[in-house]
Amino acid sequence: MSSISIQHMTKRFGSNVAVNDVNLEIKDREFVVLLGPTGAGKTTLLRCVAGLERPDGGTVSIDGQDIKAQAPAERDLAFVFQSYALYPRKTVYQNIAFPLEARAMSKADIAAAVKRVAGMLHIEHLLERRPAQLSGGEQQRVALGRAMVRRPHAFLMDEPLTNLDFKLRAEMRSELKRIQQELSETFFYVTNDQVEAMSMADRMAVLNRGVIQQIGVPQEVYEHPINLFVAGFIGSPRMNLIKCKFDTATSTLIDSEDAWRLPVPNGLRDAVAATRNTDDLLFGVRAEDVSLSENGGDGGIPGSVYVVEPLGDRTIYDLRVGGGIFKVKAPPTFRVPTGKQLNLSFNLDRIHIFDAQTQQAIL
Amino acid sequence: MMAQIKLKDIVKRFPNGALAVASLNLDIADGEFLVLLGPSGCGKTTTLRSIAGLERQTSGDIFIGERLVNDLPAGLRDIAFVFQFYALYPHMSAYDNIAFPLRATQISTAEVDQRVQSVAQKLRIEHLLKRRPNRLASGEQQRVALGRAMVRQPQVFLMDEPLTNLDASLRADMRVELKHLQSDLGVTMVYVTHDQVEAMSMGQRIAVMNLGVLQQVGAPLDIYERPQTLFVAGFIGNPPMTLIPVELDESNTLRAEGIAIPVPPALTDRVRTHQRGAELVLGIRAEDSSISAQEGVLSGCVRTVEPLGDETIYTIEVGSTLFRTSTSPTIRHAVGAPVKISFNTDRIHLFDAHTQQRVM
Repeated sequence: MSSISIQHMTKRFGSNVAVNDVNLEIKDREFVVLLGPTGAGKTTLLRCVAGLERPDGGTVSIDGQDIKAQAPAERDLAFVFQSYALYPRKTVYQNIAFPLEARAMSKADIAAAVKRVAGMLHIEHLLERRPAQLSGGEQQRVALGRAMVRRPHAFLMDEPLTNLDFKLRAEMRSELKRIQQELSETFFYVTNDQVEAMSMADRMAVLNRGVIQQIGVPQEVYEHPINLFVAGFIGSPRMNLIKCKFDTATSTLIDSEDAWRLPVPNGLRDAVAATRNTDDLLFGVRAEDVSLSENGGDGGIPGSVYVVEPLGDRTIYDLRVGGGIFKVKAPPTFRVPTGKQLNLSFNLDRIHIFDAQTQQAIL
Repeated sequence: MMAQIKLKDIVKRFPNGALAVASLNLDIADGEFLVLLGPSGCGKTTTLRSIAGLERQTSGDIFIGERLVNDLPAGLRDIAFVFQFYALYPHMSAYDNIAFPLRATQISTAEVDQRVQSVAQKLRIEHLLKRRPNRLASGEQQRVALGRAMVRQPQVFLMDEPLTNLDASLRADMRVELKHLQSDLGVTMVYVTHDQVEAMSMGQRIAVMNLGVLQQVGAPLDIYERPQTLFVAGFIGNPPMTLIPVELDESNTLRAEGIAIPVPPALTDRVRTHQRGAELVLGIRAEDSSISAQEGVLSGCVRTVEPLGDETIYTIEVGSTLFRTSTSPTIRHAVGAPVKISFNTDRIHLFDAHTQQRVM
């Protein structure tokens, strides 16, 4: 258990800046998830921390100590990858014990350490098997066990759940989080899956094109995305983002094709008016912050049902409003057919407005 | 032309003896969007390939329209088979990619042009026709690929996990477009996937398969609300249904370690008429249970909390059972905290532990 401090880290590959002046503090025993799309620079950043890449600038410190001079093995960080890289001829027990065998540990101490880890991962019954006899989820647990057995400073994980099927991934998400809490160790975890990030992280750092976009508690980031990238990347279904402008005189959002107009409270007006740009905006609203009614309510906008997506516990309605599509979450008991005209009204406390030029949230 | 599909007693056995499809009967209506859903190895792709004529079933009959097609080669079945959506020819414009399937035919240039334009209009890609694939966004590439499948005007589309390799947000967009397009064109669609979200959101009906056996066919919400087998119950829904082996005792109570759930006598009467033994599996969906610090029928403690933004999933440990329950993000309980679980007994599911079938 240790803290990790990343300061002004930059890594270039030729003219391509993979990691651009990243600052990130990972506290002792914290579960921090680095989230971003493919090519964002997540893995490069993680490899710089591990010592597998040499950054072009900046420092990494563990418990306040700069580790630049340390080789990967000296850093005492455990690395878990997508591929499990288990030894096929060794049993599960031997695979987990392997990192300890190079150390001067007694057989009894090794056995105790393997047993402790196996218990925590619920794989005690598998210790005599070989990797080929294990399912993907079990193999992943063994790989974790091998990382856990030696009590490193911190765990670095690079999309470890990617190769598992959907069901197993959901199960392992909740297991990994439990294990981190039980171990009480520092986890630095990289993924492109926003569900993994939201559900596991104490804090998440969103990375795009090598630059940190936002760092925060998942629910905070979900509710207050700082820019368009974060707004669009986090949440499923994706946040509705629609081009619009703002008429300050009437305090009204106007669709860029003038397909709809939405009056907003004065507090909102003041925030938008304070920015100089009122012509090139994006209106953002999450699917759960829109409600549908069959009668034209007040303060809403009309739309027609384009596609209905029942998911069981909820139904997503895709509504055509002007030239755009709004996704709206409704309870499964709400059933209207394709083509039907409906009224969309918004929870105005929870709408977002972004400046299309700077990409930053205005509110 | 009517393009209903009828599968009658289809059996497919591979040369090594493995049974891929076991006596499958399925009627797909003209203009229907039917999804074949199941885990890998369940026989769904084999079934689709048999309809396409790419596999020959070991026994049984396949009808497309009124026609028995057992002996009809794939090329003459008037179907479009789509594996994945982005195998476009990189050196050809979007226009030429879409026109490609018509080039080898006797169709006149004017007719080809008219068909390409009509397809492009439906897909809203008229303005992109001159571009090459590398100048298209991936969503646009998908539409071009879809256009290429549409241009032959087949009456039946067969699709095998076409969205698998797309990133999550593009996949969500394509789901919507495909569903809209299918109803717009009025074609018959048979769509294979292992992704229950795709199946639920796109299918008019879903046929769930496992180990070569058809488990259930029905509208998405009917399957979700009344799964007929344990397999379907566990496979459909996210987070998965909590499934607990229980016994129904003489005092109308469902029991497991640390669990005692009283059920109304009417319900137990119904269970007993369907059921000889006492071993049952109780199923509860995450959204049909709720947690609170004080009130509930079961006591447990919070094992993990997974905030997802619009809801939070709690895993609660009760005895040796892990319950999943979904709550509003405003409800907060800490890991390790004792909580009570309550649920709506109208919405519980019970299965016979031996036959795996729904008992009520």
